[in-house]
Amino acid sequence: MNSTPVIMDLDTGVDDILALMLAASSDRVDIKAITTCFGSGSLDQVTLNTLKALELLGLSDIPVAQGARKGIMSSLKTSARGRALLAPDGLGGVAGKLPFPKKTPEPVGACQLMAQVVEQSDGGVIIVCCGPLTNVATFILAHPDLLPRIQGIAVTGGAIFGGDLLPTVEFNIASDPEAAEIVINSGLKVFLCGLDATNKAVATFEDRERFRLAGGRVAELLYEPLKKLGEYSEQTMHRDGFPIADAATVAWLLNPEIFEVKPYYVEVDLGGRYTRGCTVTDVNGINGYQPNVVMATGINREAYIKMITDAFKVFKSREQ
Amino acid sequence: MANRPLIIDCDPGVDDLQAIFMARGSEQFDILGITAVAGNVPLEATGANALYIAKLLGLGCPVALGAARPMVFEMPREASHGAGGLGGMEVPREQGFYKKPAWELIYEKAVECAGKLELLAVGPLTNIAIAVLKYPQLADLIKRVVVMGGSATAGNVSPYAEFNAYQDPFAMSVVLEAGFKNLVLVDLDACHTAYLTDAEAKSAWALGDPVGGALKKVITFRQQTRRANLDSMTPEQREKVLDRNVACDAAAAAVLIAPSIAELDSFFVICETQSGLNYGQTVVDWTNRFNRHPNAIFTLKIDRDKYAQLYLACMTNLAERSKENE
Repeated sequence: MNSTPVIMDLDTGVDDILALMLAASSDRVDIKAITTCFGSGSLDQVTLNTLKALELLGLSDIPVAQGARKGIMSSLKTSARGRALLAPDGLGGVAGKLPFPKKTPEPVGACQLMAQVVEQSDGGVIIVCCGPLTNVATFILAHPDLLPRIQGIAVTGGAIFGGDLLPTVEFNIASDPEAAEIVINSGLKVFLCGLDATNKAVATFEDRERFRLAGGRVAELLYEPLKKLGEYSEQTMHRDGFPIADAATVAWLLNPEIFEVKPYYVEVDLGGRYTRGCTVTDVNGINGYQPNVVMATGINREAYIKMITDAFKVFKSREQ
Repeated sequence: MANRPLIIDCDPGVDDLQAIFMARGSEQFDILGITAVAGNVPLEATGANALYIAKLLGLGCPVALGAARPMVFEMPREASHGAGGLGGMEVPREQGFYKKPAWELIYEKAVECAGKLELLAVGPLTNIAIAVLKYPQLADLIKRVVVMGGSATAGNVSPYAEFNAYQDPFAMSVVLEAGFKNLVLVDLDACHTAYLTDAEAKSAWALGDPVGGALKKVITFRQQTRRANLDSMTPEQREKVLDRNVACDAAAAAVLIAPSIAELDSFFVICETQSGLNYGQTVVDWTNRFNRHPNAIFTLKIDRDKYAQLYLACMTNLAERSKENE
């Protein structure tokens, strides 16, 4: 079976590690490169977390390049609110327990590495973006000639209704709304795995125990931060568990049939006082434009959790 | 017992007519005034329509003209209420308006009622906003405001904005921030949970003139517009309109008359005014992201059957009363 060449753009984060693990557990995708972007933490922090995660997962042969330190129009940023939840390291304190990476980032930037990978490929590259879209937007602006070799962009971000940063604003898109608008209106195929689906992709208490039982060092190390996130979510958000967002975007690549999706016309709000970063989705077709994205509207939670559990098992077996 | 003093601020409007009919037919209110605002149609027409409805029902209360345009920007509006605003109904242009503007009438009555006045606001909120800007103490003098406006999900004039909020989002913001103790928002989603079936609508217009006749006119007008648009609709939209006679303002009136027919909960709500795409969106802070105290009671759902029962009971009562008066 041919595997799809993939570039993963991450702001690592617990769920980025799960996304990476899920992708690397399958032979249907071939991770050609990883690029990092500010987001759940500073660029330096998320890059270090990424290198550590690769060391932990035994994936240190994948090249890593650092990307954006801030959003395209960060001077406008009105909504900076760090995820204190995962302080102090973006991984809920677990970063210190991860192996120190032998690996260092490539001497080129994220956009250059993306271009190299795409040039060297036979086409059909998918960029999976689990953070703000700054790197992807830069690539789209800088390399219009390479866009025909891109099969599509799969993004963890956006929402039809609702938000997590603000009532109608999702965190990744809000971190760089201009970049999101560039990507969505690039003419490329764009898949948005937004809150309408990821809020249903929760790992419950039982699921967290299931991950742990699946065994292995990865499961053991991620147990505490997942528990922390889960308890926060259960207590303050009154949910059954914590939504594992980033890995859902990878799950869509591997197993699109577990998703409900719908094509929509989406624009990103860039001006609002309360809605800057909102992915305005024309559900009733009021604007009458052709769809420019496919949006996830639902996910089969059990099937998704099973995919993650199986990925933990794959990594356990690789330890031996 | 008609013991709840009420002013209805409106932009009639086929739904506004039904809201005023319901308020009157419920016999719960002492209607102290009708105030008109530009909205569904220009002020000239909403004013004339308000006066016409007041006379038709023999309300005997002052009818005041309010704002001819929104506070800051005038947005284009699509006339979906027919020529003149009442589904093509012939309305004479008469004089006889209250000598002062809408906000003065609202304030005077609020002072007279010493804390008991209720407001039903079913148009853009320009009049109410001007009233609270001029008389900041007004918020404390009003017992309850029930507003038809806003949307927590999809809109009807832009992806997320509802007509009344979109017409004057600045006024919506002012009203939300004014400090009303009891501000009930009946949003577009809630309004769509309350409707009459075609059979129920027919039984309403079988009530005879003038009530049944007027209802027949405005409801059939809406049915025709809906049918004309069916082809361009998505299957979900079609499902939403078939055999469903929604009258948003009447749903707000129903929540005012009988709050128990609705599921209500308090939230912080703010209206976007600075965005091109989200202009007029009412942002409901479900999970307390803004960390602000609730400023509005949001209507999550209306019990459809109870709504239809209440609607028909009010209209029947109104029809009987107008026969007695003949």
